Amino acid sequence: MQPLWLYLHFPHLQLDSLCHGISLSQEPSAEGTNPQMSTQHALVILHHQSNCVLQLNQAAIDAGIRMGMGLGTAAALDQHLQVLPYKRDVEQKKLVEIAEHLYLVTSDISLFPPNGLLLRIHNMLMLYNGLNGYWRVIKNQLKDFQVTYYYASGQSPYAARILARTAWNQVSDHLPMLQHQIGIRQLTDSELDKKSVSKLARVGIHNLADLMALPLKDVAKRFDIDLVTYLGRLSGEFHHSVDFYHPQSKFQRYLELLYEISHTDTLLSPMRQLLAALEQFLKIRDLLTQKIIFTLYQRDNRTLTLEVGSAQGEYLADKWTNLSTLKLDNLVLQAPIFALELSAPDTQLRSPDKADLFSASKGTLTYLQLISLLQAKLGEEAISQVVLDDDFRPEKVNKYVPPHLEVTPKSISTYPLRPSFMLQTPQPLTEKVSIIHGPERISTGWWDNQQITRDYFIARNQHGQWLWIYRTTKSLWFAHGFFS
Amino acid sequence: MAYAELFCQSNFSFLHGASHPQELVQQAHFLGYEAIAITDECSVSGVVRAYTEIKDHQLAIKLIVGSYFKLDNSLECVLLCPNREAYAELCRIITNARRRSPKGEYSLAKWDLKTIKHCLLLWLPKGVLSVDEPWASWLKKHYKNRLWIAAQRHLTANEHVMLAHYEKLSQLFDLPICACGGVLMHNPSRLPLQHILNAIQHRTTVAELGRDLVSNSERSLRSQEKLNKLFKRTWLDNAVEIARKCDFNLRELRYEYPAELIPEGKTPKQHLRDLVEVGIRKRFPEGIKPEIRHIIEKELVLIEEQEYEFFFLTIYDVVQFAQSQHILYQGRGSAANSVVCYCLEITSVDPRQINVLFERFISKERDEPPDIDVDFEHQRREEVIQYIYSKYGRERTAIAATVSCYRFKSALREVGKALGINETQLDFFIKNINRRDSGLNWQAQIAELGLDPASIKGKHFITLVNEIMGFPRHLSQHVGGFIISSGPLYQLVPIENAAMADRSVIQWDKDDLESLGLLKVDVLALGMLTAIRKSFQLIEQHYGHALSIAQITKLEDDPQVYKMIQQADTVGVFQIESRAQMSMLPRLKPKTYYDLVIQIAIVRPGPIQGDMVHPFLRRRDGKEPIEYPSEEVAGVLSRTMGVPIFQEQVIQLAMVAAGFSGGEADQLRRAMASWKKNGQLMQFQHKLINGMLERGYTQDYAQRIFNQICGFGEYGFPESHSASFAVLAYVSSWLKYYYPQAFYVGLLNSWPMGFYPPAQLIQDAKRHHIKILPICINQSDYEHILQANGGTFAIRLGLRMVKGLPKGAAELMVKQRPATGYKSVVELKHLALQRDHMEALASANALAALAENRYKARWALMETESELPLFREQEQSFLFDVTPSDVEEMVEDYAATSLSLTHHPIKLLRNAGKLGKYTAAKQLAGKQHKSVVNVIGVVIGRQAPGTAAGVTFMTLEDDTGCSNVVVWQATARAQKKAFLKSKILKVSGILERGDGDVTHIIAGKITDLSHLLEDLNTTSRDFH
Repeated sequence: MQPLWLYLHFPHLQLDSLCHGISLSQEPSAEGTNPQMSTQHALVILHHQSNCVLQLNQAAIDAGIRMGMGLGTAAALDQHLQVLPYKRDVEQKKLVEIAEHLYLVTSDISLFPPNGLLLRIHNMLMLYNGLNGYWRVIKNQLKDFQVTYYYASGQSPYAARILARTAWNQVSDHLPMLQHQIGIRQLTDSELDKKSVSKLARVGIHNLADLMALPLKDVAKRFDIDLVTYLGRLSGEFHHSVDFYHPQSKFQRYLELLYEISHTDTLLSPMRQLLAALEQFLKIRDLLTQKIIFTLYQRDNRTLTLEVGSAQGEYLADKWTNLSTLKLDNLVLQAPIFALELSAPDTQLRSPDKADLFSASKGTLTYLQLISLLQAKLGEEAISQVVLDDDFRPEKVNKYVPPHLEVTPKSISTYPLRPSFMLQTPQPLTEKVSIIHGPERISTGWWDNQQITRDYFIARNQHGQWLWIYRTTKSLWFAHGFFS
Repeated sequence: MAYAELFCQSNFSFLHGASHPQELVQQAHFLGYEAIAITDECSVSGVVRAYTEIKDHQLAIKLIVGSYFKLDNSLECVLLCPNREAYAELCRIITNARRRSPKGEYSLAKWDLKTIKHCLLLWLPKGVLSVDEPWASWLKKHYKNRLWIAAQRHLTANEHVMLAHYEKLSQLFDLPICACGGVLMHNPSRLPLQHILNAIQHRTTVAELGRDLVSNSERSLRSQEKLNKLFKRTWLDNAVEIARKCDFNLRELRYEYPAELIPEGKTPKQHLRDLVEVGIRKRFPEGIKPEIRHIIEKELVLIEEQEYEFFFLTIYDVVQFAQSQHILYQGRGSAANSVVCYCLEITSVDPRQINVLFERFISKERDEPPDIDVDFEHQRREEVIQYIYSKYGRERTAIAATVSCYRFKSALREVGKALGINETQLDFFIKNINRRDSGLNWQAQIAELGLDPASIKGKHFITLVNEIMGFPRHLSQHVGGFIISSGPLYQLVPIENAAMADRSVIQWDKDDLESLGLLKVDVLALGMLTAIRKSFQLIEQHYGHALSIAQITKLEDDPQVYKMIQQADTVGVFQIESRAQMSMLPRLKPKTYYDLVIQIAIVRPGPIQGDMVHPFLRRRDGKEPIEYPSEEVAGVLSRTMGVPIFQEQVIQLAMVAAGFSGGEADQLRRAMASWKKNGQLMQFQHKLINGMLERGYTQDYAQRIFNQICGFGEYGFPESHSASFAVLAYVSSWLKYYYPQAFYVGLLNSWPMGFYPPAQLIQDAKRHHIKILPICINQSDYEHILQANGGTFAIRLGLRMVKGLPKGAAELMVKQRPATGYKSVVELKHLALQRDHMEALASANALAALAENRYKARWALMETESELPLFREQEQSFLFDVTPSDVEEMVEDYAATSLSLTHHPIKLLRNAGKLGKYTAAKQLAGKQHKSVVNVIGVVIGRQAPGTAAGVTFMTLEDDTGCSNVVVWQATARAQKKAFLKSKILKVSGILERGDGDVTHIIAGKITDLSHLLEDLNTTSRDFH
């Protein structure tokens, strides 16, 4: 049997995966072009290091934005442009999701992260009555995802990959045609490293046909073994071993939202999507779960976790939705949510016998646990920690910081004589005092608009109390603290 | 009631002091202080500025020279100079402390303090008895009654403890206490800037510094009333008493020239006269005319009166050395164009050609030192420097400092960082602020870029950036100003290490030296001299004619050469090769040497901003009568038709027309030289204009003169320099006309230098029908050479053109080359050169003689087997047959050598039908004035002179020649991207033809066509 491979390339997986999980009710779209996209605002995925546009939607194309454009130019073309940073792991998660779904119809799947899938197909053709039948099934399976993909078959993994990545978009087992197609591909599209490609370009060899026309012996004298290996694998002469995908045993799914959500009500709809996926996962495996965990990603990288339990175990999305709704009522969002993740850490076979319902262990809380408990109860903002700060201004000497941040205190030199009791706000001085020491003039803080100019004195009042008092530039006197 | 401030740091205590020395003395004078000491940390860099400020404004305040030191974190003190001996001591220990440490740092040793016998010491106790006690007894032992406890009060916390500590130390060790300010700012308003400087020094933000900042503005100069409240009267009186002990004045510094220049038994005067007499016989072998003899006598008298003999003799000695080594040189500057200098062979400006009077250059009245700069070949200047070092020794020789100051970009970046503004944002500001945009100042531009100028941070940012600009940052070397003395230099001025190994700089810059009347010898580097010498050598080698600069100038003005200059055929010629100069040549039509002197000086911002160019042209062409507002003015301006063009004329005008005194004129001259830095020029506006109005000149004329003074600014061009430059401009033109091949090769082999890159020089040579032969492994040397070709000489390009090929590898290849040349790539490979060097040769198509094209050459190079002995003679088993396309060839040519002899991108694009209708550069001559044209070309030059309201000149090159495009600011701003980034450009605009057939295209629409090249060949790499 002649080996045959199929490669699927997802050119803008992150863009496509925004807000689209498996939504079975959606209208199928031909080869993944998404009709919805065109009606949206211009949206681009930006590669952070290079600051250029990596993926973009139709609205962005209409606005004149192109791939590889700098953010500045793109933003100038559309002032309402929505920009998201490129996240490789988002794509990778989506890729696994697709593989999992395809696994229902085809057996040998290999992942090419972040955005490619390789399928070994010659051993499946019998089952589906030939290539066309097989492809119809795969296509159908892909519909559910509403993602754009390029595809191609090839006599070797590399052959299928290069053809798919250059959007040949055909399946065929006609070898001469495949070879012709490969030949006209540019070396820059191949797996060869940049150095070899430019070395070849410098002797006028730009496409694969040119390269393959050279006797392998002469090539081997001039290039390293990687190039020879590549050529052998491309033509199918050399064996190319790939790792195949095995379905996950635990459920975990990530969903990035197109718009940030700040109301818990609206959160329900994406949660439902995730729960539907969970249901499918569990159903296929005939499993139940007692606990699901939603991780809610809030802006500024803070995450919220929402645990929903069902003591008897459950797999139905509807049931979990109801339970989750109840939990949502108690949830307060501190910042808008941009993504959520659902995981089911433990699963069990359906119809299990449950032992003790109340066996949760009761342990002592660590410092951090206590803080997270307090934060969960009272909200994160409510808990802070007091630290000393290095500043001349008495109001700035103490400062509140979020507690669980690793605060490595600055080495702060000791302060000169300061009262142990400070007034929250300085009070006008109403009694007679005698000045003992001073003045200490503090005139600083111009940079953050909280400038003060004061002369501080240590004084004693008639009751014998020692006071820390100051005089302003307008000669008004205030008491600011008491010495013990 | 009196006070003297004895501890005061200026901004020459870098990143610490927040006021200029000038500001400090002005403020101290305003506050009625009796004296002020400038005591920068281990430095006297700021004192001359303070001294000059007092002198220029005749302030009634005494300046004390001193310095502040730290030792081992346990001792802080201030040394003050009561007399000249003390000053020499101070310079010596600063030098020692500085020379022990890398640039910008110092380390004082206890020993240094022990050697001090004259300086007064103010001790700044630490406040910890255990630390201070040992020091108190040590200092007491070595300083006896030259020691005081210096008490400071800055209203910090627990100050009463410190005051008690002073009293205690005073009692324990029987030491007097004096008050001092520890001043860092002349005015409390400088506090934010002081904080910023502190943050810059610690590479952090102001907010992060916390209590390491100064807590209030008490470290400024304070009123006497306040000081009376803070300090005991006796402490203040002690400070005044100390100040009264200090009688040293910088005026006392006198410079002694090295004695070895004079043979024993001769006086300097005699020796100079003898040398001049020898020179006369050499320079005027046919005998000297009485009027020239008369000038020489007058000059010698003047030199004697001013005691400048040593200065001339020093320079004579240096140029004699250069002559003995066949290093080409040329003197310039105020005294350089004297007949004496001509006789001493310091310059080649023949006095018979130029009616230059030496008196005009050395002004007795102004008491300004003579200025002679000597330019040497840029590749050989180091030999001259080494000669000076070896002759006088490092103790007696050092280079003057240049004070590097905060400029706009550095100010923006550092202040921004100190305020905690994101660095990428600062980069963004810096990249996107167009300082040439004169219509929109940077504050407005920065607001456009997204900084809110009304926000707190924005306000501080803008104020502080403006404030810090002009603040000194560090000392670096002057380009070539040497100071040579008879005794150890460190008794005159401290010396510190420069960044360059084995170089040391003094702590003063050239203005400081000038203020003190100390002379320096400028040893500068000039690329054109290298080129001229190389051309001379080629001419001697190939034509058998031995030439020299003096010989060519003696031949007198050659009409053929001037004809070439008038046609602006001056690519590669010294000075008159820039676009602006070239466009003026056909209008000025220089016919004589002095015309060239004017030409060089007139195309400068000064005359242009002062609107002096057009009146000059009109008067020259007889279209406007030559009039002088007065007899005095006529005396100054007659040689330039009544229009002031030279810096000297402007200064003289200020004297004769506005009544400036000699001293004031000298101040004006210096303010002109540095006015971009500190804007001091404006203070003269009132005096100049009023002075002229009082003397009956019109407001309009006065204003024009002042505008020109402003324009001169940093670009000020004196006649004395122009006169020397004109010699080189003429000599290079002469070479270009008579020996063009040698001229181009000389230039190309001296590169980098000049205005044009090699590619453009070669294009120019081609336009002069000189045959250019390609780089060839079997024909080329490392340098470019002349090769006989068809009865004349052709230029064979050298291997130095090949990018990525080092000199050593190229020379090895040439040296090992068999008489019959290399036969194959394999043979070449046996040289065992680095692979990428061979690659570079293939890229430059230098292997064309061995392999048909570069692809084949590379294919052969890539093979590794034949390097093994067994396979040495093995033949190629397979015939590789890939041929590069024309576009590929051109891209490779440009990538490897920056030019292509065979293909021009414009021609290739035209042949491919990509360009549509346009006018080729050659055809522009046939177009009507004011007609609309489209031109397309490779952008080979963008030049935006600092004048003329933001005009940019662009040069576009196509295969037929170059076209000159003028882009107005508004056009450039509207089409910024195409304007700034494009490599191939289409310009639609209006052709303008002015005087002398100067043709420009005034750009209307600018289209970037750079992408066309990519389209031509999708595989082409980046095209440069």
